[in-house]
Parts: sequence; C-alpha cells; structure tokens
Amino acid sequence: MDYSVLDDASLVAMIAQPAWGIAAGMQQRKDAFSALYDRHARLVFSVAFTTLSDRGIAEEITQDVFMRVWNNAGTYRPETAQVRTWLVSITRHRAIDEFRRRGARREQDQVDWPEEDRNLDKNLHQESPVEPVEGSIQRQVIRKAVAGLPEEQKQILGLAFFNGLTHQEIADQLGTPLGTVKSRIRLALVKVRESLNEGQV
Amino acid sequence: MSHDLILDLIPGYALGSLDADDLQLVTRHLQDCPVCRQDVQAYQETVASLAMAAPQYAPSPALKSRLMQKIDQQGAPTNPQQDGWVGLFKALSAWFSSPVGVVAGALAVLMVIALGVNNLVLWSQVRELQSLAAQQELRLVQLSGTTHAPNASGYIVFNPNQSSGKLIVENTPGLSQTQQYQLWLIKDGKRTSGGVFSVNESGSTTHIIRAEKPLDSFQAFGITVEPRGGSPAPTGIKVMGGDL
Repeated sequence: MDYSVLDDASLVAMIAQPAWGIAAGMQQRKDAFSALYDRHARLVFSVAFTTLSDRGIAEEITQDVFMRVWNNAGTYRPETAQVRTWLVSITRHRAIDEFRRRGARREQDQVDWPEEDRNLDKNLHQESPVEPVEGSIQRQVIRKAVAGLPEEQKQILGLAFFNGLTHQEIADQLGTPLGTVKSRIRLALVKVRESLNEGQV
Repeated sequence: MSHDLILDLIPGYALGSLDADDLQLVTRHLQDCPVCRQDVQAYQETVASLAMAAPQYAPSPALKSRLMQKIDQQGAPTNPQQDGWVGLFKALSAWFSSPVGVVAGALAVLMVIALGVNNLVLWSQVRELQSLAAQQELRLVQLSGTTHAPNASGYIVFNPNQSSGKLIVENTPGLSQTQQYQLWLIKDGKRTSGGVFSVNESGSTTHIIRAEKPLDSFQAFGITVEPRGGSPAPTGIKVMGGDL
C-alpha cells in the first residue's frame, strides 16, 4: 500500500487506532507514521534548527515531536487545524521552551528572518524526494510573502516566531516602542494571510 | 469591550506573542465569541505556514531509525483514542463536505488498510466501501463479545435505508471445519439470517451482509456458532451481539 497517497488527516487517523475493536496492527500504524514522518520531518527539524542553531538538539526535539504525534494522534481533530499546523505548533513550543531554558539571546545571532545561506553545508539542504508538488508551490508562495514584507516587520516576525519573544520582550530587545511592535506584528500577519489567500489555487 | 481591539490582537494571539495582559483579554473574549475563534483558527494556519518560509534542512537518516526503534521499544501509543472506532468516524466526518470522490476514495482506502487487509480479493470490495462512504452518514453498530468469546469484537457499518452492509470482526475464536459463524438480524423477537462466515488465523474477517430489508429496520444483531452452511434459526452459542 502506498501511504503517500493518503492525506495527512488519514495518516494521523491510521496511527490513532482505537483501543478496542479493529486494530490495523502495529505494522500498518508504523507505516502510516513513517509516511507522515517522511512528509513533515524536514519542516519540524527546520523550525527547531532555526530556533536553536544546534543540529543535535534539533534532532532531539524532532524525535520528541514525532513521539508526541505517535502517542497523541487520538487527540487530533481535523476540523480544528491542519496536521501541519498541529506539528508546527508542538515543535515551536518545544523549541522555544528549550531556547528559553538556555537563556539564549539572539543579538549575536541573526535577528533577521533567516534567509537561505548558500555557504552552509550542502547536506543540510537536501530536497526531499517525497515532498508533494503542492508543498513546494506553497513554500514559494509563503517565501515570496515574507520576502515582500518591510524589513522591520520581517525582523520582528522572526523574533516572535522562532524565538517566541513577546511584544514587550521584542520592544526591550530592539529598543522599539511597544505600540510599534504590536502594530508591526499585526500588519505582517495580516499581509502574509492575504498573500496566502491570494496564492491559493 | 471593543471587538476591534480584540480583532487587532488575534494575529498576535495566534503567533503566541501577546503579553500577559493582552493574552488574558483575548482568552476571556474567545470563550464567548465563535466568530473570533474562527479568526484565531485562520491565523493559526497562517502562522504555521511561516515555518515553510524558513530554510529547510533535513535531519540525518539516523534520526528516523532511532525514532522507529523507540516506537518498537515502546509499542502501541500510550494514549490510545478513548472513544474507539465511532470516535474515529466522527473525527473523519469533517471530510464529508469535501468533494465526494476524494473523500470516498480516501475513506475506503483507510478502511481497507484499517482492516489489516492486503490481499487482492478484499481490494475488490473497495468499490463497495466507496459507494457506502459516498452517501454520507454511515451508521455504525458496535458488537461486543459474550462470556463465550469475551475478547471478540466487531462492528457493522451500513448506510441507513440500505439493505447491504459490512460486518467486521476481530479476536474471534477459530472454529472447527464443521462449523461456521452466522449473523442474525433481529427484530421483534424474529431472527433473520445475515449470512455465514469464518475467521482467519488472526481471528478477523469481513463479511458483506445482504438482507431483504434495510439494515436500520432491525433492532439488534447477534452472531452464533452454527453447523457449516448455517441454520434456518439460531441453534448454537451466541458469541457477539449489539443493539441499534
């Protein structure tokens, strides 16, 4: 059975077999889980890696996130959010928790929205063979949307998204008025949402 | 409380960047405002998309091996779904508003996989599943084992008003060559045969039910042990049953 034809919600439903009654059997559940991993591991790892700049920790977090998926697939409800949204949310929580635990300040690191760095080890940028076409079209749309934001909005968005900083923390770090930070975040997200809606086929 | 103020805070709420006072304001408001809750959901999708705008890196292949090993060690999920197959169907019900062809295909494939079925004979029944699913509002009747077969379980899935449906059983004891299980459709004390079947080495099977009347016109289902080929009326022990 080619699990890659099933959509995300189907795969999660497969993993979340009921405690009684018909069970797919461990093998089918593992196969569905494996397909979900193949589809989304890069995304999860990239969020963790961008936040923490440490491959080892990022891999630990990725493993943690997917173990949570394995154990909690039964709690996922497709009407509440897309599977990807669920995954990114879990990943951000874990990565930001870890980031705060380390007390890392990002001043010495990049504070701007992370761009592709061509000098990085090529192995880090493998194109996944299993990524569906819509995935890469979506990625182009979102990258264009973010790239099109004014610099200040991009920067603040990056701090909030990857480092989990609150409005006050961003204002303190950048020396920008709180009101300005709040309004820039709002404008950035409104703009990105609009771009995504436009970019939809 | 100004709705506009809340609306302005929703993107930040979805991003997780609100300070404590704003967070409290929005959280309280959301309890009573389904419109704003919808807006939050939409922005949460937007926020999740931002992950794709970052440079994409691949974890090492070793990570996947470690993960699958950990799963093997741990075994089944520690937090299994509580409400069982019915809950699963409810969760999937969100799909029924999708283009029927897509939903039916995915659901049919899902069901075939879920039955642990890989052989070609049962794949031919996918089309039946597809037509069942396509008609929305599948009905599901859970069957539980009696004291004679306490671990046995199963369910019957059918479309309301239809006289055909599908019986699926699991953990049902194998029988000797001279015996078979027989399904009974029960109404007002009268028992009509729903067909005979046997189970495989794992104790499971699926069986297509063809009745003379719509399946939801019955009150209960029961399964007994009968001589091979079945009996006109139940004679053997009852192993499973369920009410509509």
